[in-house]
Amino acid sequence: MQNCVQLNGVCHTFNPQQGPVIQNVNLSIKRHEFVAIVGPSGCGKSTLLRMVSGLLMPTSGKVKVFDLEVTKPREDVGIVFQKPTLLPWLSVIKNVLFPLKHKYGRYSKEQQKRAFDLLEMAGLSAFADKMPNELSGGMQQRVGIVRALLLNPDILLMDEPFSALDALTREQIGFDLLDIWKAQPKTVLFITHSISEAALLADRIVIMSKRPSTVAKIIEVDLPRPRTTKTIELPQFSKITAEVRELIYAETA
Amino acid sequence: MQKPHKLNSFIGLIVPWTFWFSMVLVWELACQWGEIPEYILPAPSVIWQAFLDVEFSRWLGHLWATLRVAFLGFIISVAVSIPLAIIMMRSVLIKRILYPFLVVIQSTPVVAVAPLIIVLLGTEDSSRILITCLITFFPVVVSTTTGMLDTPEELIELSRSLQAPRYRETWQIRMPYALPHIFSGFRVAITLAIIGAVVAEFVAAEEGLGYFIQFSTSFFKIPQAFAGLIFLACVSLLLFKSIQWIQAWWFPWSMPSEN
Amino acid sequence: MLLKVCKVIAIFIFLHIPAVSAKQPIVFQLDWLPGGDKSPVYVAIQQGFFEQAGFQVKVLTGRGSTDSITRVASGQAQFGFADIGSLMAAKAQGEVLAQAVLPYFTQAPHAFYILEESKLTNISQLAGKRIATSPFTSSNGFLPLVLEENGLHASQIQLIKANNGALGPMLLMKKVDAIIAWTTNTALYQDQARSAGKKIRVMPWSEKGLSLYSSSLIASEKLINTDPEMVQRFSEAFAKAIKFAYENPAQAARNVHDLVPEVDPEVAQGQVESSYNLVFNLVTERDGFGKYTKDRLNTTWQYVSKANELSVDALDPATVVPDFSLSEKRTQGQ
Repeated sequence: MQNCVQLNGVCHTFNPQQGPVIQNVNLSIKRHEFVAIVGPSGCGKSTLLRMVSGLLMPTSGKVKVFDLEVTKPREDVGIVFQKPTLLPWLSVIKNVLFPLKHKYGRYSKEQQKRAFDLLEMAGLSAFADKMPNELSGGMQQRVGIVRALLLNPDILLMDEPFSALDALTREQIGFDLLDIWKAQPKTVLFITHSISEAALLADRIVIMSKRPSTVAKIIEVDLPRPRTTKTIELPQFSKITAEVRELIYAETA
Repeated sequence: MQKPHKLNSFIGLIVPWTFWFSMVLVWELACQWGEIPEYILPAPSVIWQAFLDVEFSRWLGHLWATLRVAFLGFIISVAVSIPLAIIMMRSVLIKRILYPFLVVIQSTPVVAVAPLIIVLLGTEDSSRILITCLITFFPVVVSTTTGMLDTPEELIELSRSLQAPRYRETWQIRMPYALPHIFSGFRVAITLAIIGAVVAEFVAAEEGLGYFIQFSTSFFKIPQAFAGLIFLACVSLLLFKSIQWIQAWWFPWSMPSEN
Repeated sequence: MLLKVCKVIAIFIFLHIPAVSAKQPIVFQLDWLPGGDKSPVYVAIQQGFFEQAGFQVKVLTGRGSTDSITRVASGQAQFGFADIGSLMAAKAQGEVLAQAVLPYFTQAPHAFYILEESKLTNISQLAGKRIATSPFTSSNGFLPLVLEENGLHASQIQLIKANNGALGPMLLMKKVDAIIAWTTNTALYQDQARSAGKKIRVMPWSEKGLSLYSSSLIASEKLINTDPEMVQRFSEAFAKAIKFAYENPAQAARNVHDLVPEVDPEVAQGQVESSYNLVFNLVTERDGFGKYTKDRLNTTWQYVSKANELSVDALDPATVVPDFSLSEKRTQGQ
């Protein structure tokens, strides 16, 4: 399979006095691969994500997407943030259409139809005309994901997207994400603090070291798909999560 | 859930009104029994009589003169402040240049500068409007700037990743996010606009509620001055509330939640 | 049809242009709010004196002599009321393009007010007493001078500054022994005292040694230089109004009320009557009405320069008035 995202010796320094946040990261992600990134807090996971999206440039090294170096913000990237960050003055459907409205100032009937279809896929079509504050946190985050899918990006960057949700909602929305991913294949870069979430969702788990952080280890998750609640009960699942946990504790120690 | 809420709103309505009513009653009785002379503190009933003694059309004339200046001053200061806040938000350099200047204008007592403005601009509405603007613009600039900087960083990143034009970032994201702040700035500014108009009338005016109060005190008509003062306070309160109503009506999502 | 319309328009224009241009528009600047003591300007409008002289006058209120002088000197108004002492002080300190053209108060209105019931009869008895005054009145400058004339020093009294409106109540509640106010407001203060069941006695400084010119009609100096005939015509109309007002106080008060409905006719009449002695008195009997004399201008400047701590040489007092406003009579000093 084609290499979609490639990081070669990427370093990033915000403040020279504090030293680099990220040092010499090498990583390549295949097209439509689901990669989870875990690591101790403050290890620059979000920085990594922003460099892939082109919002931030590496101090040294290269970030390539489809073999082209990233030099400015990319349009073929959808971002989902930790908080839903919906616009409180727009209805759900208008929030989903916001990227178009914001970029071009308008949207067509077909695009509106596509937004509806995406909402339907996420089970939100009944809420299209509701205001964001009428939705639960889980539903708001689902709208956030749908918004990121609107421009049909090839890469989906998710920065701890479920961390603000309660445990039950979190598991459910994880499975929903997998359904969406199956229906609309994307290359996913998924930052999380939850080891079981990473194991449940991803094809590979990248474990980052502490600052100045680099890739400590990459673990292949060879759990069968589709993944369900049954997956959690597999002995393999426990083995993987234990391994990841050990590696992270080794890093924080 | 519903019942205690209803009771609350009932108490919330009754208690303040009862409080204010009993305050007025205490005032009235204190004046009657305590034999407080009228030139020190007139009783509410005396003030009410003084209010009725002035023809209503004259009240309206004075009210119109003050409101005209206060409104125009408020509108012009909003029209200047918001673009100014946008410019300062966009450019740190311009902000560094302008901000000290704005603080200097704000901390200069307008009462002291007012006579100079009258000499420069004459005794027409324009000088009074300028005085009002000088008093009102600062809270609007500060609240708009604060509000626009309060926008979630993620949305700005979203905007940048879309490579949208910057004016849309300002117009579609920052401005609506700043609205709650802008409106609290407006609420402060509208009451300041009334103060500004009155200060200006103290310096030069031929009509208006401030002029009327000054006139009444100069003729030792203390109850009439009090009537003017209370009328003015009511108008201020009404304007303050109207800003809230406008916000609730046009931008219901921007209202602060009750809890 | 078109011709008819043109005719109507032509007649309309013909009728209106002369109506606008025949009367010279004048802005008159008061030195304070309207009231009985400002009645001559309202009388001149209502009795048609200005109109007969070819003027159409708009009156603006002011906030003190300095305010009025500034606006006349800067050309925002052509004529106005102001204290000639303030004008002298202003001219001694810089170029101020205004001159006094007609004396209105030939005595200063400054006075002590005391309660009738108090045992004070003389200014010299004020030693050690508490006296209240408003912070910005021109009276404050003259206070040391009138005290000196009566054998007292400023340090011998206790001076309290308070807002104008608070002075009456302070006296009535005996927080102070005397207040400083203008005789023009005697009627107002008496009314206030009556509501408290008291009476007030007035001690005008003019009777206690402080004799000088005060309120005057002032005019823009540019106007005086370019059109002296017009300025004279205006001051003649004004002089006529002063005489009319003080001969018919009730009518004068009504004229003020007609133009400024906020002014009570009774109160205004009281103010006119209270001001009578400032306008018509021994000085006008001796020097004649409507002209300044060099001697009295000199005396006035002597007091004013002392009150404002200015050098006597800073100003030739004769330059404060144009030649046509000076009396030709040679008078022997005070």
